[in-house]
Amino acid sequence: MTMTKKKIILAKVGLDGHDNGIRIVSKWLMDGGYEVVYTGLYNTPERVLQIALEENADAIGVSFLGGEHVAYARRFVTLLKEKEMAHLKLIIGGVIPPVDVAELNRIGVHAVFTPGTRRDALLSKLKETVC
Amino acid sequence: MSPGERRVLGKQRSEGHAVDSCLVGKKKIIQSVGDSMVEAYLPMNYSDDYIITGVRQGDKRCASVLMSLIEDESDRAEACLRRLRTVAGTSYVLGITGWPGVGKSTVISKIARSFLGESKNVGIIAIDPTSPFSGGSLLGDRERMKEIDGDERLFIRSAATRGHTGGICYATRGFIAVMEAMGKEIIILETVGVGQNQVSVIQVADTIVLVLIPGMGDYLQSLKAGVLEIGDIYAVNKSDREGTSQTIADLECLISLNCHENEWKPAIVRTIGTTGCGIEDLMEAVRQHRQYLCEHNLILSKRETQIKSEIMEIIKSRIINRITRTAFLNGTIDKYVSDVCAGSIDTYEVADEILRQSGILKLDR
Repeated sequence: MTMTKKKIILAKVGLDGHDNGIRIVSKWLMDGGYEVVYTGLYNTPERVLQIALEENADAIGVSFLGGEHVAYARRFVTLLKEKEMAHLKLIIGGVIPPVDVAELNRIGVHAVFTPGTRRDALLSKLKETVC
Repeated sequence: MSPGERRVLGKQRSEGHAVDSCLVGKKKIIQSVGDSMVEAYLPMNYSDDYIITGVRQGDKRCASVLMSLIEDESDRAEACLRRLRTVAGTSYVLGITGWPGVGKSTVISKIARSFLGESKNVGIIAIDPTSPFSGGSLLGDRERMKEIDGDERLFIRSAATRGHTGGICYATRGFIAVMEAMGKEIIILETVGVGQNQVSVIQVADTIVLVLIPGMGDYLQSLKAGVLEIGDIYAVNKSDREGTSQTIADLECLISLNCHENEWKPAIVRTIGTTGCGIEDLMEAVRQHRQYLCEHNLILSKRETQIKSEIMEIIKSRIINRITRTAFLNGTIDKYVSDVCAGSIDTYEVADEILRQSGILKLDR
């Protein structure tokens, strides 16, 4: 009788210690009815995927503030294919210049959230992407 | 890509429904990711046979998929669990409970590392509450276990309570069964620290460690029924803080009041989860309790008690499912509610009537 819930892994990778944004998004998603596995700081893409596998997640959300989003996006997409997890939705947010959004989508990112995205917009786009 | 596969993929994209579970084996699907077409094995296509074989071989992916089926209370989950049943008693279940913020996850991280150091296969189930308002949850226990996350012999799974009362989620028994079948020798269960109502943890764990911090509540609090009575071991964490000695004195008093002669006397240990101080003492206390259970043949009788309560839970859940399908979904309950408000029938009659209609009660009470 329980409804299926969507599970999302939220992570920060690399050495960037700014987690304020991702903590706020965690709260938004929790209020939006998602089950959020918050993995905190200093992860590697390999670790994030391992967590996504054990948790049987539906999506992975990664936050970038330091300009490394394109490089990591490529790495994530490659790893997802290698590990036969390409059905997971990859979502990227943070300080992403709007000009990079098309490139990220081309690489295989399913949704990109740029600075100033409001809560309702994020939740509705996420629902489209994940559900 | 065969027409069958293309149809399957199209159906998933447009309707978002899970594919019919009678597909045999893993089905390879071609889907587009960015610019390229990629082969993907969609977990929802795994057949029961594939899942069960995978779990028995210790495959994390199959175990993880089955755990999701269990959480979602799908019929497939029941079918798989029935086939997976191992003989009772293959894994040792350690329950760690306590109020939020006492340091359970940090202590578990150290305990698990110790077990991994002994070359044991370890599973961890970390439970966090589901919001009764939004239905969502923040599963943050895993973040505190970073130092061990990544070891191949370790499987950590977070779970949300999803409305099950008593501080432990409905699916926990199923998760434990899956981890046992995977070959996990030790399963650590971290439960929601909801305060007083933790008694259901007893139902699944062999040893229960209650984690406290110094200065929690006064002496009288400790006499209230519920969580404080269930500890086999009490770990006073953050024991570098003031008030540790008083808390230990209160605990010793509580133990001497409750302890019966031929039973296990709960142990008290001081720990500092962040540094690992006292963890060896905690491990030793766990070892001693386990030995005590073995010597007094208590492990099997604990399992028997758990099996009995599991049977009762399954019965209750079947009855509720049967009734909600008939009365509630048909809307007949609304008619009954208006009749009760009008005074033409009382709630007991309504309940009996519903039970009769669903076929559960045959005769008049």
